Amino acid sequence: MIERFQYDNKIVKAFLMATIVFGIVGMLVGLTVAFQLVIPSWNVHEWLTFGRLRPLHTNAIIFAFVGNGMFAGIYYSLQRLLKARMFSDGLSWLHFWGWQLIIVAAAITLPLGITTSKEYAELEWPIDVAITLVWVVFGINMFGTILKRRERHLYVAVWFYIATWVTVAMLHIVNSMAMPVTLFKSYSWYAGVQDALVQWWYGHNAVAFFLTTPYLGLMYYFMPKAANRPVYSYKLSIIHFWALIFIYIWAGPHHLLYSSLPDWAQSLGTVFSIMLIAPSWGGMLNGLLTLRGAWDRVRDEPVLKFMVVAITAYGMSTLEGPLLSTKFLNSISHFTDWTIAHVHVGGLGWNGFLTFGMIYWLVPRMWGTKLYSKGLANAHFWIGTLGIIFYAIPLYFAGFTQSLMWKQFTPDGYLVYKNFLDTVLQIKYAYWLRGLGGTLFLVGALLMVYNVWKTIASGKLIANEDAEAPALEKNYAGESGGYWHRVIERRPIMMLVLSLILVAIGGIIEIVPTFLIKSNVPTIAQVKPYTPLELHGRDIYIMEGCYTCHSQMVRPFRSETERYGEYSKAGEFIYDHPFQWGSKRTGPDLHREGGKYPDSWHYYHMFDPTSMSAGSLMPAYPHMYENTIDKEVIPAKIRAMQKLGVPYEEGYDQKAVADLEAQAQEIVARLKKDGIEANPDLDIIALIAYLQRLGTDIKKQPDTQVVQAQ
Amino acid sequence: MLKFIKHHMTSIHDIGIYPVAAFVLFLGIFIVASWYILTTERSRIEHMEQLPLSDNDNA
Repeated sequence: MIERFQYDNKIVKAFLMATIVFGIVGMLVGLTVAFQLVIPSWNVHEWLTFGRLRPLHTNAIIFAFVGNGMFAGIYYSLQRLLKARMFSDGLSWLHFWGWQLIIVAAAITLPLGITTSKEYAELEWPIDVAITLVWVVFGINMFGTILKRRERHLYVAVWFYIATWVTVAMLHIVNSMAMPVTLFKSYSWYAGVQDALVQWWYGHNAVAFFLTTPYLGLMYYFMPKAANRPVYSYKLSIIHFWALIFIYIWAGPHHLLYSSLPDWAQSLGTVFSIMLIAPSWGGMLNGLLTLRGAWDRVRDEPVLKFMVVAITAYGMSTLEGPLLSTKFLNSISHFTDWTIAHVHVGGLGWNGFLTFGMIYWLVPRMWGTKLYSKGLANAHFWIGTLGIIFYAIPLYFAGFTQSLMWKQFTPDGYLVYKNFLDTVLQIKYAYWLRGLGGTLFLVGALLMVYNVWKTIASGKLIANEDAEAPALEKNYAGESGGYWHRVIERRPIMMLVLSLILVAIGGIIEIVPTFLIKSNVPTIAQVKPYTPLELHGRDIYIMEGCYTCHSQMVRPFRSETERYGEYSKAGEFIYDHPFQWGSKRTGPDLHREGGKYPDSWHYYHMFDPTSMSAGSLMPAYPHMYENTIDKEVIPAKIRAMQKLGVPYEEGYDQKAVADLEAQAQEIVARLKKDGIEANPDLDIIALIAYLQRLGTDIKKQPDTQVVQAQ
Repeated sequence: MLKFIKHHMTSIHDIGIYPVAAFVLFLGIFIVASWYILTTERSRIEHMEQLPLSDNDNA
């Protein structure tokens, strides 16, 4: 029996519009932070400093631009691959508006400094809860559609969507576990090494399952559509799927090579990262070879041009990623702009260009018209490609240059560039060029906005597209001699469970040892919890996003111990909820900052960094000299920490404020000796207390004593 | 001094099982997936790969 029904294009339109709007916004914020790096005066206000805007840029691009792009593509392709309208229009719109509200909440809270400081998971706990709920709505809608489908077999793109949903749910929930202090402040459940491992297990797999798997699903749908021929090898796509989702989940620790993470986990991350080349390149070749015999069409079809470059960029960054996971290359690239170049080849090339290709393909079809101007689309393609090149290449040079400068010794064994700032000023030219690349990319995107606008104006949205398909037989007996995989292809719930088991096993095996490790980390007797003033200072450090430019992880290289001091040890971070190891050094490492300079140095430096180091690119923080310490939340902070296992004595929350005030007075007294009259209630005093504490615990006794906990 | 960054895991009972489990699982999944695609007949694959092209879309 043939059934008649309609595809819902209105929801696809809504997500498409959101993709375009938030894409432009995310790129504008990116451009702003790029220029803030070379023109520090662009840090015009407390809410608009680099440390607060960079998380806004990454969140906007990942969750608003790529997120909405993913949903637009999924809502379009899922309906057609399953020959069914979305399960519920109500849920579709709840998903849409819920997601946009989360984005708006992020755009407000991040500039206000409301952040957890865990990269790409910066949003505070109430927003995390909202994300979970909206994700569940999306899941019900997707699985409802799958259950009422009219096509028995699930095409490989749908598997990628299912794996995306289930894995992102798991990652988000595990990594966002936190102890709320107030409505807008929480502390990570995990501390130090454990927090770092959970965070990068999340961070890595957010790239894998938010930026990669859904987009691979889109590639497997839109590439055959645009080329008007089936995918090169469907068999290869099956291997691609299972190998990719299984291997990806293990590779997270490669973000922590040479850190205080146990060697075992570091090596595991490296091995699985190298193995990832196989499925990634299998997928890339599968996408590109779909054009076999049709390459001539790439010449005059901008959609195909965008897709070819997108898939090539996917191939480049998935080869580069594993190479950067080897200890040798990582020792050069880590903490430098090389990483930034790497992620932007993926972000601008793979996600950006695939989204643009999809938009140029979808808009004329959904509005029943022709693209307004192929010429403009071609111009967008070339300007965008130049933008990627101008963005990435200077940063590769910058990363390499700076890393080698960090490691350069004189024949006598001293560092050639003792002043970290020298290595930053050396690569300032690359930051300018990167800004140019970003500008080009944005100009291209604006051409697209105009083109899409004119195209839409020339057509009319086919809000509900008529379709027909035979209903599925109720009592399907299955084909004779059916293999197990066919059973999975017919049973989406089993697919869901199998994918979950697969990714959960990877996660559990990777993370469980670090939970066991808790009693095995060599505890260092002198390492004590932060004082209330230092804890508050640490929260200011988190609020200002200092981790976006400063690491707290001295790696065991001579070039680092020479520059910063003793390398960092796992036992020093046991009270760090959350960890602050950082991932990029635009400024020097701060783990051994304590005691390096007098309090007065920090007092002057934070007010105007150039006063202490001429030419510094760091933003100034005058608001720290106006904002005062909120003493009312101090007891709540202490209690939250106690619940997380930090050994403050019983009832300490009531004594904390007195201790805080006493310590502030000590700092004020030291400042006074250097001729500074300071108010002990200012935020800057707390920050100085934290900075002066950093990495000093192990210096307290000459012989570091090791005791085994328990 | 290396005790601060190395050998954290050595005191965990049977730690070796983790990498072995990882390897066995991966190999198992790889073999099963390979076995599946090598034993699937052509007609099925053709049906699957036509799915994106067979909707009512005016591609």
